Amino acid sequence: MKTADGCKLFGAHQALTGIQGGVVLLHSVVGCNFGSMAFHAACDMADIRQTCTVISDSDVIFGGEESLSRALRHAEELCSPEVIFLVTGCVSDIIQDDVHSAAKAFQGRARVVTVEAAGYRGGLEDGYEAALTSLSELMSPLPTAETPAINLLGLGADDHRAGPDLEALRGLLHGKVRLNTVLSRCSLEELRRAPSAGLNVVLGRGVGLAREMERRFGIPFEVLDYPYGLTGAEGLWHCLERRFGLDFSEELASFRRRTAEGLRPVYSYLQALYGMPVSLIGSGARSRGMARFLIRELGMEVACQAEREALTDLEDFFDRVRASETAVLFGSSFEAELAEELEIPLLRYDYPVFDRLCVTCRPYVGADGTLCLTEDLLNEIMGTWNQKGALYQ
Amino acid sequence: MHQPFFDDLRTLMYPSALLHTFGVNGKVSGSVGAAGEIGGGVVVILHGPRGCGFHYRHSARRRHQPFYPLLCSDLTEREIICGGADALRRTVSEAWDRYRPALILIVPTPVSDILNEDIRAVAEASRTQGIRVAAVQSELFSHRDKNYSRTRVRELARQKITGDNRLELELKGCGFTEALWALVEQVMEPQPPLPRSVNIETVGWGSEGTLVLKEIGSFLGQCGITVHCWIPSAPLELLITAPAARLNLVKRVRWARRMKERFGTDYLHLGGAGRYTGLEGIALFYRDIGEKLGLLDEMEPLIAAETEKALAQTETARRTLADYRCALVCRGLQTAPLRLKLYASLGLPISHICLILTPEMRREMALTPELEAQLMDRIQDAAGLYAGGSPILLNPGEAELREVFAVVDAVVGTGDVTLEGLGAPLIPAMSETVSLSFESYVRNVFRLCDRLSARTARDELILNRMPFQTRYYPLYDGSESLWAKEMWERMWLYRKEDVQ
Repeated sequence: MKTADGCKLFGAHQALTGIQGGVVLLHSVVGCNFGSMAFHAACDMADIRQTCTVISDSDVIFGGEESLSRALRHAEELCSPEVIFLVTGCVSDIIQDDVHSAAKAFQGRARVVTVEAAGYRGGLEDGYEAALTSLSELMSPLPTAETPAINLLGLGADDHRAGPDLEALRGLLHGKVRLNTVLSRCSLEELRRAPSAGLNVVLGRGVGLAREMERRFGIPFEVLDYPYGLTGAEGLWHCLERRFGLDFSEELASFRRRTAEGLRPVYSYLQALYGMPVSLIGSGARSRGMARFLIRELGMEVACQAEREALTDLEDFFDRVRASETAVLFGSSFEAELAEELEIPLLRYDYPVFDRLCVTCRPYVGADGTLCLTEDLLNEIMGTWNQKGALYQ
Repeated sequence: MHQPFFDDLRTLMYPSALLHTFGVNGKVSGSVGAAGEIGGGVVVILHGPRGCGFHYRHSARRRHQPFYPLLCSDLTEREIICGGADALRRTVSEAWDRYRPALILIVPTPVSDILNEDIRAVAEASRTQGIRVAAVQSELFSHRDKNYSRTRVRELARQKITGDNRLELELKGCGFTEALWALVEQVMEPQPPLPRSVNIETVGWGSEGTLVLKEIGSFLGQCGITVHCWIPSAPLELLITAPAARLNLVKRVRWARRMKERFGTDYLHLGGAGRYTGLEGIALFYRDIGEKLGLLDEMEPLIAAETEKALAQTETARRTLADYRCALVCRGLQTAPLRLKLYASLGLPISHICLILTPEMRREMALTPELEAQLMDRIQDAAGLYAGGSPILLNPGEAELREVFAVVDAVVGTGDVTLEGLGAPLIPAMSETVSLSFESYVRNVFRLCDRLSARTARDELILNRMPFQTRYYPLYDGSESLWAKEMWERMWLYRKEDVQ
């Protein structure tokens, strides 16, 4: 089979590596460390907060607990992290390393949070859920904030444009609601503050932690798709209106105006997109959010849509797209394979994106984000014009 | 590739060096990388869990260009308990039904290695059904031999700088080599010998490599020698016939030895120990080929003519270069002799040799005082031979560097931008390529000449607004990166030492 998404370890990595003040220790072989880091480097090569116990053949024979203990000691000595996120992989799981005892025996100042993430036990979303749920260990009850405050759950550390999107999401709240904690892009301090929020907004994933926080702290949660476009913002605003009795009707009007004015110079191109068949693949909430935006706001036809975690074999999706009349593809960098084959544009929006960079504040959500997203889409289309000679031969 | 520096740029845009500061690839990467070079429809099956099949498409030693035809047997808990042979057989069968590939290469993962899966038996059984399948055999678990770099430095210290002896080291557990070994064992077939022919291993030629390979092929053609097969960057049908060639020109020695054992194909190892550095080195490279093929007498006039031609073409430029005085800055002690030999060949005088050897480098390379002295002796010898005995400064401070830079026209040999603004312009090391074609030598001379004449201080580099320092260059020094580097080294290199 051709794998459509990563394994449990990669999901855990995405949930944990964006937490400032913590470090990720992969109790695994070098390939897991290198592979996850290679995706991360495309997002932030100056902030590497992960390492690996380098399970070797002798660990396989004699057990890897000693290597693990040594790694915990070294991590403590070298960077004094507040928390070490200990993530196990396939090999440590097969050889049945007693990681919990090793973590318990560790006498450092850092707290060790253990996440079981053997790749053969689940996919990326399973790992993300497991790791995010483990974060509840670091939370204690707090009084609910007096002003409306929410936590956002579901962002991955290396999601494409996660930084700008986060700022745009904050902007969507327009100061009426405080963004309390964002998982997983926050400090440990912010993480500990999470129980003071009045609502957990779950962007598709993170439901396990949301349930746990509801059980332990009484915080309700709402699950939304990724809020691309006005329709995405509306979903978020409706939820906040319901929970906090707020009114976002002015913001809604302003969003409409901003996007209309912003895209007016290219209105003919928007007309070209209208009714055009497209296909998209992405993790559940992103895929659904993007499909909604493309259909309802750009007026495109979604010929094929797939949620990665539900796909057994990526080729099944490819076959459906090949058989469709798709003119544009939306996915991750890996879907360049199909886009190149079909000679159609690819808009990269889903993890992993390793062949496009984002260092400017160009989000894909919010009013300005809608302009950026549309601009990138049009540029990708124009950049894919590949007929150099006669057009009709 | 018409513009080789774009090829270099694409290589550099994959932050391999950065990532190798904090980890190494699993050896699966090398095997997949090798498969990615083979033309004619190769599908790789990773015998492992789904995550391996996901990320190894990207971390396949192919820069940012993924290897798409990568499947995996999707080992789950059930296979971990009951064995994965059925899952592998099923994946082979599905791959055959869907893609009809010319070759299916099965690559083991650490998981299948622990389970002791007999993937060669699955491959063999598939071959009896008419499916061409080869299976890579793991020599080591998970990753390559971690002592290789240190061993290499020790061996290098014993090498003569003139390159009269050879450095021929095997790297065990390299995934790339393991894949080539599998090709030799299970794909190549005995052939009638093809006189006056060579195979050339394609990967690892560095800057301008692709262009230089073509130029090497062209010169060999002038000598009446055919490049039979580019290994492994050739169509599968041609790789099968690789044993027809008389000689393999190789970067990695382990698979070549196996090919010699199995088919009698001799090899010439192109190590990086300086034997083939500079114009004289290029000529020596072709002489070595001639000697191996028994064609030296025939080739000698052509080699001499090509050497003369290169010298004539570059005469004016070399005369210009001879008027400059440059300081050489090298990180570590290994490369300085090669650099000095290269600059001498290009005609560029080196008036000062500055060596940066940090405590971290000493430790990484396990430099004992004796070994360090040996390496320094090599540099002294090289300075005597190629730089008129220019002074050598070990770890000069900023004041010393400024003094040196004040009396030279430019600094060469380094890309360390923290040295910009100290009084002399830098000519980035990427300007000098080390390759084995006469044409590349000519380009090197002209390029260096151009760069020196256009030299300029880059005193407002954005990079220098960031917290870099020479000691850790090229590592960014403003975050957790330094602990992550030290952590990695403790777990990887100093595993046996109880560093507290």
